Amino acid sequence: MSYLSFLRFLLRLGLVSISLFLLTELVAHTTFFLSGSDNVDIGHLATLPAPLRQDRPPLALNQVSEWEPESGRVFRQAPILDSLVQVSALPPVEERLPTNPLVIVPADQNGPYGGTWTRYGTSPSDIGIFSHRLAYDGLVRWGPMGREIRPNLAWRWEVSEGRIYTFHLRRGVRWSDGHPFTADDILFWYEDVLQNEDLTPVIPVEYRKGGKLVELEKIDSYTIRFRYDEPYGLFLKMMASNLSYQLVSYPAHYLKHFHPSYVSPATLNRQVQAAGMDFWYQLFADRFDYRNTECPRIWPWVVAKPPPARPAEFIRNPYYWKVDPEGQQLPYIDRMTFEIFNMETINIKAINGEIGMQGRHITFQNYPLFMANQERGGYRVRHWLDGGDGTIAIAFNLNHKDPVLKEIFHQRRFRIALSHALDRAAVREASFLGQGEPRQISPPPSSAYHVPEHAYAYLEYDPALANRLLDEIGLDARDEQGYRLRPDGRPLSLNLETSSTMLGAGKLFEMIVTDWSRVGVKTVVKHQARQLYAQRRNALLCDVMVWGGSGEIIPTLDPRWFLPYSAASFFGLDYARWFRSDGQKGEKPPPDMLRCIKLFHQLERTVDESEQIRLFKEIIELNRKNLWVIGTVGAIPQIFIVNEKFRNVPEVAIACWPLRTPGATAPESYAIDSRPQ
Amino acid sequence: MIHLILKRLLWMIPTLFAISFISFGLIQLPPGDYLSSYITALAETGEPVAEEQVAALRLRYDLDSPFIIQYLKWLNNLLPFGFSRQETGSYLRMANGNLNWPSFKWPDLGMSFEWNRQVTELIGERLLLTILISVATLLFTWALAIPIGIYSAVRQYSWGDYAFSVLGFIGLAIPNFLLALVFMYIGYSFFGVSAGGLFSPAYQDAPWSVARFADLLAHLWIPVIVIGTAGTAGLIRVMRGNLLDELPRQYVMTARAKGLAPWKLLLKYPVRIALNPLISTIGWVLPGIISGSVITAVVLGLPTTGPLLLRALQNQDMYLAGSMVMILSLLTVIGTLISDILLLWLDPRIRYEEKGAQ
Repeated sequence: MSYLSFLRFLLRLGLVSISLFLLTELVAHTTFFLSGSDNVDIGHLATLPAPLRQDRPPLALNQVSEWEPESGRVFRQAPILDSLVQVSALPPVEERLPTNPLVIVPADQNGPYGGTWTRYGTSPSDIGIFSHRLAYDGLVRWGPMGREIRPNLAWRWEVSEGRIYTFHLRRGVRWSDGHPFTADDILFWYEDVLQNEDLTPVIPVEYRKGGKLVELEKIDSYTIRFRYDEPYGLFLKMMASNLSYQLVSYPAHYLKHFHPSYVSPATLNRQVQAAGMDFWYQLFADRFDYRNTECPRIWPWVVAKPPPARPAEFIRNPYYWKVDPEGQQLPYIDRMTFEIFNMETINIKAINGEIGMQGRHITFQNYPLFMANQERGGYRVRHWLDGGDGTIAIAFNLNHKDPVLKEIFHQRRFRIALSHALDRAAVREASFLGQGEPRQISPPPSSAYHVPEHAYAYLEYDPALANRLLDEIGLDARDEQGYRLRPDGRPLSLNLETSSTMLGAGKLFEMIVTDWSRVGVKTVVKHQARQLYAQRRNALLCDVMVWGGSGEIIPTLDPRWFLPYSAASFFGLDYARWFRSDGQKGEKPPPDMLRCIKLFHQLERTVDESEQIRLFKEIIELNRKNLWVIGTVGAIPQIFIVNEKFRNVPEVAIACWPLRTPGATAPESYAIDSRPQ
Repeated sequence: MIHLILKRLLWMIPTLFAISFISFGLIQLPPGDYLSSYITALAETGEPVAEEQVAALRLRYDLDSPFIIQYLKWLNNLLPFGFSRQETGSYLRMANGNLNWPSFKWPDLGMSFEWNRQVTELIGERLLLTILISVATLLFTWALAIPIGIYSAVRQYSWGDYAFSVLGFIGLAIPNFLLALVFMYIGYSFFGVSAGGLFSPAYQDAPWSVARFADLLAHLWIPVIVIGTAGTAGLIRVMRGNLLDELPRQYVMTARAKGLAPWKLLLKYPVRIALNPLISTIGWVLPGIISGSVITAVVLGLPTTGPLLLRALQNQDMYLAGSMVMILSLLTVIGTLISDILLLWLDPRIRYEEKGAQ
């Protein structure tokens, strides 16, 4: 090949590369332009609505009251039920409602009836959240701000000695098939579900305080009494958050047909066999599953077409036992549909305005996009306060198998140094679009348990201080690259472990790595499949673990970051084992942690709310002193996409698991108003 | 030939047994099981599952029996000939205590943990749409790729050839899921087509009608184009290459010399031979129907079997995953057989003969 032809070849190669480059650029720019994110000024979003930043009561929230008997029994129902009543397929609405229905005063307006609430999930189990987030009906219920416990199925309750709890049920509440709901249904749960070894192999710890199973007594058809041996101050809160919707969801008249205490083994076996199962308790669980259309419920909506139907559909329960102040039976919305898509598609659907009301899977990274498309998509973005403070927690494995690392992690000054080494202002800008504020993992300002001294402790970005603290604890030797050496002479290297599906953290991980490496602590990010992560964690093999906060707004319900409480207390999983097994298994915690455990035991036996708060603040003080867990940035709002036709969805509420978000904001009182404004 | 097919059919049996054991083992191999993946998935969205609940779920899903027992039970239910379950719950003994002899029965693919449904039911619902999309994509690919391939070969190094090659390589290079997202956005912004899925909300549940079919067609073009681009690009290259091999052959020259019309000549001889490799790979289409273009289907939210299989594998939903892998293997084995038979039939040069049969 001659010199000239080679040159020509090079020229042609160059031309082709350049044109390909231009083409790629063109495609990329078109895509970028189409996605519409370039015309949003993130700067002006930095000023969030006022209620977000302060502990101020929000504008409009739903209230509850009781139906006054003087108002008479004039009730109204959804128009779609009228024809059913006319052909006598359904009794009239007065007969379907209890003597004293619960009155929900909606946040904005009463009604109108009708419409479909469109939601999306990522998997069948994600649709399952319906049964504990959208149908949140227990004996009692949290208010939308998590401040007070409200009546629900129980209209009144008494507490004596902090250990005897008497609940008075509404009279005439009916299951969705019209059968009366009474104390017998709760008794069925207590005797045949809770105490059945096949259905409940391990009785939840909340029901066996003081080593003994709680006693449940039926006073009459509408009164039940729980009796503990020792005071249990958290019982009512637990009932509002976790427990009571389990105990009221077993319709005895239906489920008895699948229980060996009521059916002969031969009949039961035949049914098990016909369903293609092996054991009766599989059949029972299957019949109880929310996907079974036959099982009666007390929820606002019941499943009509379970997944895999596309969409899965829930329709109104004609026997729902709540009304609005005008006597209109709730819920207002006729149907709810769920369809399964992957997360990116759900976000596109949100921008397109195809969502009714949803916060789940709406990723914060797309925040500017959501804000920019509100008009076009016909929806509004609501900023709810994250009850878990939205913070990413960094936990050191205090039970590490490596004795040298364990020794280092146990140094209080080591943890404080690494907290000071983190440039949270930069994290806030890069990972959270400049939203939120630097915080430790602590109850947020909207919580009664808020302790500013802990929430804002050790937050200043101060590498010099961090370096000094690290030098002081004997990590002053460094290798030729400037990384610190452990006391045994090996390089100090930490694996920052997280699950590859950990969302919302953005560039956070790389920033931690840079900041910590800057003070000589070599850090490596290790993303792994969530299964593997869980396995490594439980085997106490991880160095540093990163995970989200939980419901710190009411920290007494799940104090996982404040003491070694459960398998989610990543900083001390073996201490948590010790705590759970009353000292039988696991490692005994160090003195300050033991003190936290002791305080918590004391708190559990305390009924007085202010005393509970005082005790928990003592636990927080010990956390401030020790800083077992490092926080990053908090007060990140949870964003909800709400169609502009939706009414009664509060501007601000608390979003977290203990409040069963959006359960505590009474989804049954949401309405879709298509009338012109 | 019949002899050969029979022999191949018999060989399928041990092959499928081996596949069943290996695939069931592979599904169980990753750490944890369905329940632990379910719990960690819930924990990530902020829903803690109490340890007490876990105990109940373990019992319900019967996850603690040893691997070999789980495998044998699944296999026994899967086969059309085996021990049928008695009302006592036992497989080996009848209600009266006598031995239960194996017999013919309906195959039972088992239950999916996550969907709480029979596997048959889950797959059945999705199979029709999956086949529809696969066939539509295949037709789209062929309709586009064969003419372009012919053109590119006949007008080699022309501007048209370059243009199609560049387009083809871009089609190959752009990840399908990205293309899917862009199309979904375009589909919504300019045509008002609801993002993802195969039907508008209004027709989602409606019985089949002309309007519903039209609605389906309005949605079908996105997955067909997205899934089809990569295949089209690949096929253009194959077609072009094959034809370029054939065109300089002597028989083409002879035919041309004898004055055969150029297009008639082209289509009647070299193109037919160039199509041979396409037809012999028809067998691969069968397994592709179930497992093909999974990521695209996930992004587009298509109600097809691919996403179902992917999720089952991710979640270690072992009976669903195992049964789907078995169906997949069966289709692969049958597909290979079909393409072998087609080859044998189309190309007289190929012979399957026993050694020393002559």
